[in-house]
Amino acid sequence: MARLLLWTFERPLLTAVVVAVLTALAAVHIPKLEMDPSAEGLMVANDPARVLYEQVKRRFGSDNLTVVVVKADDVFTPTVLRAVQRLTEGLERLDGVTRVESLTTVRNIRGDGDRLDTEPLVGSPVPDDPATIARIRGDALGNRVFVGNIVSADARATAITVYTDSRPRDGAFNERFTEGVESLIRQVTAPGLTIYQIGEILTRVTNQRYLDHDQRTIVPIGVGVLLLVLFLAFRTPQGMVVPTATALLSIVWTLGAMAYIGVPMNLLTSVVPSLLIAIGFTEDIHMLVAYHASLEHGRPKLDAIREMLAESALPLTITSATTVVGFGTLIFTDVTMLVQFGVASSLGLTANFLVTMLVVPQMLRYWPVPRHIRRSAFADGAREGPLLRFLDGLGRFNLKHRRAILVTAGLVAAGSLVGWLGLRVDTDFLTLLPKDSIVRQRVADFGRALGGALNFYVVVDTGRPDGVKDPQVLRKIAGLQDFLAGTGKVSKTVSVTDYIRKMHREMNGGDPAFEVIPDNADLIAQYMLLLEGRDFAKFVDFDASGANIVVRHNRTGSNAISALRHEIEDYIHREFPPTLVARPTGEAILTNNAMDFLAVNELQSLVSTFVVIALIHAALFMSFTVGFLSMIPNVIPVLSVYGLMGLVGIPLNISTALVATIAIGIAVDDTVHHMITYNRQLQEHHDQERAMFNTLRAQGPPIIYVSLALVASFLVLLFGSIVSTVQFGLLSAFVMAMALIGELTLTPVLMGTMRLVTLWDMLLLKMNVEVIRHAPLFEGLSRWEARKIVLLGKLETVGAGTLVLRKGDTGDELYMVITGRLHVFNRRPDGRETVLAELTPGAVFGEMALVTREVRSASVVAATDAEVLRLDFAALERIRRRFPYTGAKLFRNLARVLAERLRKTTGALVADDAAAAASDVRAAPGSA
Amino acid sequence: MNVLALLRPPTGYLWIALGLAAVAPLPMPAAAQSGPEIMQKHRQVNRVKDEEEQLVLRLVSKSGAMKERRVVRFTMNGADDLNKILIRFLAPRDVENTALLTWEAKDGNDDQWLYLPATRNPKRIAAAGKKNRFMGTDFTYEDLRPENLAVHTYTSAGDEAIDGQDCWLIESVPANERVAADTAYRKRRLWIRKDNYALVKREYYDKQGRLEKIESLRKLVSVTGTAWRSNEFEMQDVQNGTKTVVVVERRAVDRGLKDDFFSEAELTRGGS
Repeated sequence: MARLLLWTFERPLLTAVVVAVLTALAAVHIPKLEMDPSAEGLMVANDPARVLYEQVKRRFGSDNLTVVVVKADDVFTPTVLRAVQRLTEGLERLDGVTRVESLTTVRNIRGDGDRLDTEPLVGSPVPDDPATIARIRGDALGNRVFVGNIVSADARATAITVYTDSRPRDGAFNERFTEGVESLIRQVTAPGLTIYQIGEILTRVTNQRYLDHDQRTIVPIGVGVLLLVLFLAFRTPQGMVVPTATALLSIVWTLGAMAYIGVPMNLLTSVVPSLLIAIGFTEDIHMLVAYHASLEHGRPKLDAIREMLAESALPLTITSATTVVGFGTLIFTDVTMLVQFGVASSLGLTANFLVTMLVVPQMLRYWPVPRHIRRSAFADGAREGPLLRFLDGLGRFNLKHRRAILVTAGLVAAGSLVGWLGLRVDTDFLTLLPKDSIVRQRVADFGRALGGALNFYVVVDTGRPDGVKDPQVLRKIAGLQDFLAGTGKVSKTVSVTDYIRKMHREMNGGDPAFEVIPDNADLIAQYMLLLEGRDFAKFVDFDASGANIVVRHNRTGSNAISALRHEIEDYIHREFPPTLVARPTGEAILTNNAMDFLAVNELQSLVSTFVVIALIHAALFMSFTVGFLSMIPNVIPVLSVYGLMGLVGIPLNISTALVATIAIGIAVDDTVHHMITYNRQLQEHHDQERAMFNTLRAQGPPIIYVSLALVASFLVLLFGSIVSTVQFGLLSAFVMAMALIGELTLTPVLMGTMRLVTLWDMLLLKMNVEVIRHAPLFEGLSRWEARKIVLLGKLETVGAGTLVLRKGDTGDELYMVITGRLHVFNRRPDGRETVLAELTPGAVFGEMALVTREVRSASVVAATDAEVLRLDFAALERIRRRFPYTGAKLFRNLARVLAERLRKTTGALVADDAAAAASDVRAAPGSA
Repeated sequence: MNVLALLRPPTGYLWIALGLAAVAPLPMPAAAQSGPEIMQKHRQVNRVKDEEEQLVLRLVSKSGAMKERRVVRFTMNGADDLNKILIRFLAPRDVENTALLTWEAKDGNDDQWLYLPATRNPKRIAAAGKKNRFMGTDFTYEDLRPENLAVHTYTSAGDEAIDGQDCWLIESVPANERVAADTAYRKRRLWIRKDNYALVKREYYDKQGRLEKIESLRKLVSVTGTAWRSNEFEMQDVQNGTKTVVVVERRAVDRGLKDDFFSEAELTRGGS
């Protein structure tokens, strides 16, 4: 990867062309980007309930309505009724309106002696005489279908219901319609009248306006905060411009890709640009730190860039991969909006990675070297500053309280799990809007004045044509309606039974005793013949096999709707015969289904994110243990934020559920940088404590600045209008803070328990093939295994003439020569040195120390520049634990080496003995 | 000077004039008839004393589903060109013998009675219900009557061919405010065939002036003398996407129905 980056770096023109082309391609598509302010994406794709809902809409009409409310002291006055009429007629003319229902359109049924009137309740023109008005009032308030539906029982409010084409994603239509209604209201309004509109379309338009507003205010502020932090950190414009440029480019590319693929900007995907800024900025800081460090060490600019690339290649690739994976798992959830978010964020992060790789080096190339590098927070000079002292102190703290840190982490995790128990899944669209939002106020007002502003259906299917005309069926339906009324959770239900009952009463002279369901099925059929018409089509379908109960209510939370739905289903299960099928359905029910899925999906996604990232880390460090341990400092913040939500009562909803995924994506990056740096330090110094301190010093400042900047920019979201945005900001800030603490304390402690070997180093290490083939220590080992041993040991480079072992020293390491030549020599008392043996690559020396703890029997000096591998007890232990199979082979080889020594020694002793015996024999004659 | 001699038309012209007068009753497509004239003619030639039709009503929903009703309709044309109409359902079984009786009135405030067999007594219905659709069909009560010339103002709007037949195009609007209040339509357009004064097409425009329904009258048959009737006509609601097709299964005209046939007694009798 580093090679690829360096190659690209050397070709600025090619890079520029590629970037320009891609940017142009993206920019071309951006105008086609779709805006989707609806909640449609929250429905579960392929939900069978969705299919049912679409069918129901065809049979009974859409449940999507806008209501224009007219309030007055008494709506039954000519003035108000005329206003209602003007509004009705004006609304009927609006584009997209299919039907309007109001006091002036409904038919009244009135029976009086032998008369039956089925005329409109309010004639046209609106009558003036008090008698007629009084009659209208009486008729309206005496009609069970009207009261609580189009007029309130106290006659202080009336509702004009407007049915429109369903065009949820057509933002322009929604705006035009809303404005059209507002304009009508302005024309008609008069003193004494309060008129306003509410409904799904208004809610969508309001949502969109808030989202737009937030995008326009919060995003710039958030960006401003980040830029401020960047400036404070780097003290040079370069530090601000480079990250900004890469963020902007990647946003352009992402939006273009989204437009091309067809992913719309919705409630969730509108977060993606901010996400890119946050994450991109993280990587840029790390890269610039590396660049400035190189500059500070005196490297010329281009070399510094190359060093930066070499150093950053690995961490950047890993962090990008893990973040893409983290968000990518959302693509496998069932909720359309989450899938879209997963796609958009994965695209964005990939784009960000490409942009960073291609553009940053070139930007630095053409940018003059900053003059005030030494002033930056990451400069060597700063390392003596307060930040450094803090980090050193932290390091000492980590060492001293290792156990306490682990225990605390465990307690936090346990405590969070307890908090998790209290976590609820609840999306309440209305409470997502700010408390003072018009929509919320109106819905509350409407609820008080007239009844539920929201509705859903309960569809009853008899399974046969004319099944609804059966009195038994109607009684069951009426029973369900009574049950619903009894729960107190709905404001009104209207169904065919209400019309039939009303008709029956009026056919019997208006006698209330007759407001019941007749026993005669033929009579019911005849009533329905009369009632047939557009008003009625909402309640009975074309062949009268199905009936619809329209339920009006004010429950906005998904929890509440779920509970109500279950109550209804229980009742149906108890009271309805198996042949009579009844189901609640409606847009609210469908999005509610999605909420149920949401929690499960999010959890699944989270778990898979963890697993995949852990696997990536395990592959990187070639150890499952490491992979697992590396996730702990990232799991705990996530657990803690959910625990917090459970304790404090913030519900899990579409926005807050994302906090964990986003947090992981960002927090894991820091861990990777941390571990890679720690590993390199360990390679260099072979001292875990020192490695930890150095790592804290090197990675601490970037990690701290990044985390603080992210916390600050998340806190900016507190200024958002939509409650879920605010909650999201708060929780994200919290989780970033927790991640920071974990990164500075828990990660070092955990790292300290293991020695890391990265895949990368393995690939980079160039081993002399000959050495591996012939070294007795490496016999039977593959190249891979040999490298593992080398990396777990310590590779030392010694210059010619360096004393590696001194006779008389104690030591517990053995050595193997990798390259070069060494001499074993003995210094005689008279100072002369005799070379006892020459050690060539593959030769092992010092191995006796492993068996006995004797002092060194001879000295070893490097005759040429040489590389030697040093293995001590600890190293051998590590090898044994980490790579037992390799270790076994190593020990076998070691045994062989020792045996060989023993054999030589014994052989030498035997030879000496024989020589001595021979000289003894020669000396023997003459002596007695 | 004999002034009278000057006043007397030349004898030749007199014979020609008399001859022409003899053949005058034949309908001759006149060069420029006015709207009211055409409509008067239309009513006049198509008027019969009484009529009995057995009809199949096919209601077609937006999605193409169909349900069928069968009715018999008796119409009697009386004094002042006012009609009495009795409609009785023959099928489906659960609405059999449901019946509706209408006596047209000069001022437009018709008298109507409704009888549901499952109840005891018929009910009088208010006239203002005229703009309601008849029993779930796409026809309103007013649509089902012969043209009521007294309450509409007609203007000729040119010519147009329908199915290859030359027609007059007539525009009709309510004659006054009161009528306008009762009717569902701001305007209608009628196509009257020039050759036989039969109505072949009607368009209905709602109160906002938008096209609401189109009625097509097909399978024209001559029933008696100059009167033509359509044996299959269809009302299509273009705004809702529904339509109602009416097929005439049987028709008998001028059977000598009497006033007392169109009574509450007959209404409740059922079966015919």
